Amino acid sequence: MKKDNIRNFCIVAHIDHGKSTLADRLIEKTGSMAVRDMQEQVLDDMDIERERGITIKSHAIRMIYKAQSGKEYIFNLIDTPGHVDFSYEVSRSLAACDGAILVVDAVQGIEAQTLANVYMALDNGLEVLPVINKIDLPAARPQQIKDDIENIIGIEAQHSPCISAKNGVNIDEVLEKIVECLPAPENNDDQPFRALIFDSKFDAYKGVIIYFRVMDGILRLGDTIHMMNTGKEYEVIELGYMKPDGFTQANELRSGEVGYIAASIKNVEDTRVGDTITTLENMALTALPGYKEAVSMVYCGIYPADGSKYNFLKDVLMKLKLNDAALKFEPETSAALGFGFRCAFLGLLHMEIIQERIEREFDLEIITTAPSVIYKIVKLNGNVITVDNPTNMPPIGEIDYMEEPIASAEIIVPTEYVGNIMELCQDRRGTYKHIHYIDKTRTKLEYDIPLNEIIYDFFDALKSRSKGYASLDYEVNKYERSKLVKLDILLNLEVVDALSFIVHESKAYARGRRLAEKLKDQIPRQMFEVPIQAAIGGKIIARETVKAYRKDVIAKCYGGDISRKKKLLEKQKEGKKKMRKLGTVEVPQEAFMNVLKLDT
Amino acid sequence: MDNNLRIYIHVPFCKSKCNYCDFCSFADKDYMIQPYFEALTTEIGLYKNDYRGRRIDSIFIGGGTPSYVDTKYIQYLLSCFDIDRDAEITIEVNPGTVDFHTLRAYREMGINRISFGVQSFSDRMLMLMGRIHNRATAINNIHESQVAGFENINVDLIFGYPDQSYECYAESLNVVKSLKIPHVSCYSLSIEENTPLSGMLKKGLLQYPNEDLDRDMYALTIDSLGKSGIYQYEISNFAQPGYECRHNIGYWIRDEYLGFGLNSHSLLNECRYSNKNLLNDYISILNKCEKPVKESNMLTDTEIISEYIILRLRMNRGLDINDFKTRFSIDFEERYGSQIDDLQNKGLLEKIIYSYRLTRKGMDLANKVFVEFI
Repeated sequence: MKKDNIRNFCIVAHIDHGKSTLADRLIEKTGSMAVRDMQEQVLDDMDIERERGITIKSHAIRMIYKAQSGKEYIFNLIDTPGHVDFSYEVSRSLAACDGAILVVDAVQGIEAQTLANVYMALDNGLEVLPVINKIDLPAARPQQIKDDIENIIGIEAQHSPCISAKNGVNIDEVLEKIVECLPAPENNDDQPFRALIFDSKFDAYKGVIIYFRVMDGILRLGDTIHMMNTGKEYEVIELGYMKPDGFTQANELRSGEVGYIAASIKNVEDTRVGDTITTLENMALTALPGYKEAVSMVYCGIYPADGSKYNFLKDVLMKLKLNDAALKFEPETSAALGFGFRCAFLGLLHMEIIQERIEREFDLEIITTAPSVIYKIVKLNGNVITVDNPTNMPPIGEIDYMEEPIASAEIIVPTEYVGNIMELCQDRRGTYKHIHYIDKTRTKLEYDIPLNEIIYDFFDALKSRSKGYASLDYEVNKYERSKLVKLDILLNLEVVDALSFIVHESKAYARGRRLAEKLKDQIPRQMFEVPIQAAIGGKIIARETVKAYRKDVIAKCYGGDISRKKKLLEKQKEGKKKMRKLGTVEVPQEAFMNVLKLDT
Repeated sequence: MDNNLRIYIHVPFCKSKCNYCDFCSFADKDYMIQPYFEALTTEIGLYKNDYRGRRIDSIFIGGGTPSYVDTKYIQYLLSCFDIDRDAEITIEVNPGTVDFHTLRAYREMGINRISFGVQSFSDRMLMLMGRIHNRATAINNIHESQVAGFENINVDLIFGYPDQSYECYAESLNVVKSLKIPHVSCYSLSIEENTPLSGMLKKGLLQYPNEDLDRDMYALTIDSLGKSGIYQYEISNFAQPGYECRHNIGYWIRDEYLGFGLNSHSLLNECRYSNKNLLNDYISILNKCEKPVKESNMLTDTEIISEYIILRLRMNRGLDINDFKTRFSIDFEERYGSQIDDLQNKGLLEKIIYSYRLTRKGMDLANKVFVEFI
């Protein structure tokens, strides 16, 4: 039996194809929220989400839709993150749905993440409803996009609604199609209770709020829930569902419904995405499939620019972690940067988001070291260790061989830029796998590329070599043996730990030289000549010199100037305090920031 | 309290603005000259109680270009004060704004020192700097001033200007020497924000001056002038013995001075005052017979000591530890032992009998020394 009055669905799309705007229109059209209360992209409630046009956290919204037939439906829209870094979170959100709306831009057509997301939806057994968006644009080519969807993805698309979410065109058609094409959930009310967590967040008053989809059975207020993977148990204090304008409490939730629980939970880590909730009252024996621990892919050190803010940084990271179980960190000490934290992220975007939130939401200036991936090192004595921080790499003499993570990457690019992009992939040590001509104008490239090349500015290079048109999706799926070396930077003959990194042998020379050159421009002249060297093992591969300064004097100082000159000197004294002293060399913080900023 | 007092008077008008200049001066406000001097006279009147009864041993009329305005204004200004017979009275003159008669008039009204803003004797450099005169005019005006009876003459020069070669600067120094001028101020160019020069540099129309070349020029200045008997007595100032500028030395030994005019500054009773720096503000407030003070800052003991050290160290005679002890009852070496050691080790500071002074290297890196005492 089905619960025909419910539709649980998500919207999948490549970045910027209009996912959040369509969600806004659905909310508006179903009257779930007064127009005057709406702001653009209701579901993206973090500043960074709105600004970057990406969704970082999952959200869910319950809408009531009165169909043309006169019948009322409950729509649960589960919004998913839209980026490869969060593909596990996406997969869990999808698992909570029965259907998916696939939004494709009528001009851009299918992009890399369109494919990745739609395949994930199909893998989860979802029915997919394609929608062609932005038909108001002069360059819209809806028919061709429909053909592409059929040819490339292999789902029927000729009857897809053609809409303009921005202008509210044909939204009614989408709503009707949701009822018509997307399946209703099964009625499993009589089964033992099982619900899938697709997100959780920390609320200062209620503790952790869990967002979930009931798969089987019924949950009632006062039940004791049991997390099947983490084993934690709590009493349900509040239960309900989410309307666009806030929480609505309920006494029970049944199979097929989407809702939230508050149970005085203190730690988001106890409510992991993908975990199965059951109740002691009606205990299920097996958990829902698909649960995975979050896997950290990218690591970097984060240090307060002002060393005295270490404890503040710690508080900030703990606060961020309240809402982000995937963020991991532990204390780390650097001779150059002082006390900080080694942080682990799902991917590069996740890292950038955390860095940005620290600086913007907490107004704390930080220095981050170059990102690293996890390397496997097999030592001569047979021991295998993993290293995510170049500082911990053992001496070359102890290493038998090293392995690095390899990502399988899919790049969709206008055909005219294929040459550029292939060159880029080649340059980044990519292994060519496959090329597929999507249509006359667009091509899909498949490469295996080492992850450490991807985290080194690959996105920007990709965009700049395709005038911004190439899109990328990747997944790390194996480790391969690789000739990797540790590149050290020496300042006045001493290694600066914060500037060391692990790099492929073939890249080490060029990168070492570039880093040394860049540093030379960043380090002000000192009282004495300072050599800057790049070294692999004991071998110096590049050398630059910061010359000793010869002039630092206020030439003119008369009556009127004295106060002003004193201010200049005071400023200079302040600047001196901001220098990091490495041995006898004074290095401005900006030097670290600028040098560690990735570039090609 | 020392009864001597020095007077500075600011004249903020120019024929045209130079490319490197960020001083308080205007090239397009000639119609304000008359109202400005009226206001200036009012201001001088308001401070009567502060200078009456004191020995005014120096007056410095600076700018801007004081020689750009009619001599009658200058004459009237000087008549406001009861000036000591031996006072040093200086006026800043830009070549191309005076002739023999003007210079003669200056001499007759009691002015006994002229400071020429020459900057360079190379026509090409003068053009790059946006000066209104050329080499010939400058030499001519200097001759005329000598004929008019001035002996105490200063010439300002700039070095380290974009595109200025070592040879070009050396030549300007040679001209100064051949003109038998007893005082020279040589300034390493400082590039100020919001000047045409900084704009040209940012746009890449000119190349930033080379620091090494700048220092070579500075070394040349000290050597070359020294060999001709014009000795360095302050970071940027050189004079034949007896011709050191009394007025400016006053600033460095922290004598009291009263500044009149737009954006001028004063030091009185260990309080530093600065005047309004907007022309209209300055005039309108004086029309109401109020003092045009913009800011006043009572110096703390710490500030006084730090000013004392920094300003004394600018001069070749340096800081006398006995004088320091007399004034502040503090033993300089005890209080600043670690700084002194460090600076001596770095070769920036040296001790000669009872005085500390900058070494030759310390002159290049004076700020490194000064910040240790801020």
